[in-house]
Amino acid sequence: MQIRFNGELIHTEHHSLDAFLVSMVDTKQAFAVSVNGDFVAKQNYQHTTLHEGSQIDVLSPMQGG
Amino acid sequence: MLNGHNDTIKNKIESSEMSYPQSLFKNSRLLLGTAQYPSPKLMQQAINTAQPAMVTVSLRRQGSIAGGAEFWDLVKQTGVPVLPNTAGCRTVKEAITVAQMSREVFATELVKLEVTGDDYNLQPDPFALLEATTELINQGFKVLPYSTDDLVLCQRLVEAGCQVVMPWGAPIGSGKGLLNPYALKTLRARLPDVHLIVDAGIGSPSHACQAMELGFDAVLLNTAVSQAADPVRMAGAFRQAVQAGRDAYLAGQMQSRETASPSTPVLGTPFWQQS
Repeated sequence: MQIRFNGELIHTEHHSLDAFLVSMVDTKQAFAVSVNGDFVAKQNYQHTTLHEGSQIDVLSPMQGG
Repeated sequence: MLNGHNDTIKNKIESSEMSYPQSLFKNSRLLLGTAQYPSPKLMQQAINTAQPAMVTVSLRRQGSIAGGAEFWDLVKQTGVPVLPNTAGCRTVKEAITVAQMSREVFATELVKLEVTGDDYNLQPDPFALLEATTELINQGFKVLPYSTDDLVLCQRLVEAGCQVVMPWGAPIGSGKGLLNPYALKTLRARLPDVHLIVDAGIGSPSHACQAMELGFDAVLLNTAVSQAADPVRMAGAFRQAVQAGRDAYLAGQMQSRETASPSTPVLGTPFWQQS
């Protein structure tokens, strides 16, 4: 299915957010996740299902003012 | 003349409690941004020199900017507490989501809440800011809202539960200093029990000193240090300026006069005779 990951349209076979993150994210870095604009806490990754057109944002610490 | 100046001094001096938000300022009254330094290493050196109360950080899409992991390691090494921002958010929902994500990543209830209302001067959207503030406080956050210097907005933010409010001195990154000292003095006088931080627009140590002389509890700045020719040296200059301004405020400034008044005793002036 097609999803949007960090703003880019990509194809994935993963329907579980947990599995998707393992395949796509640098888990050595601190990160947090939102799906369709809503925050998803770490304990809810495995219970979150991705759908066609889901928008996933994975954010990590960065410089800020 | 605005009232409340002396009461504010008394309250701050007599306060011995170190609960929030007093605890934020136990070691420093300078908050420093971590962006736009020539290198991550210089950023770390500037932080170590400034010894700020907190450093501001953000969240961005993973991999969008090189060096994110190194940056975060260097910040952690300084041991300075972090204040995550919601920079770039333009709606209430965006700001709330980023705040929630920041709480998980940075393990802090504190959030520097930014909701931009205008892309030209990055002016906060007062209506969205108040709405997001109210919701985040309901969710247990300690919100430090980046606001304009509008008195009524700041009052509403306090009524929503903010113990700290951060009015701008000038637009972000402009370095223009305190564009409206009257408005800032009014805020200080009308909100004597609220911790006020001048955030944004400070371009030189004298601007920071001026804010502290007005009785602000702290200043938050970034570009003035990171874009200096020598950021580390400028970090030290700001550290001293903030302390000087704070000491001057507590010392109580003399009243200015319209005319000269000799400081050397007039009595006994040589060569002078009564005609």
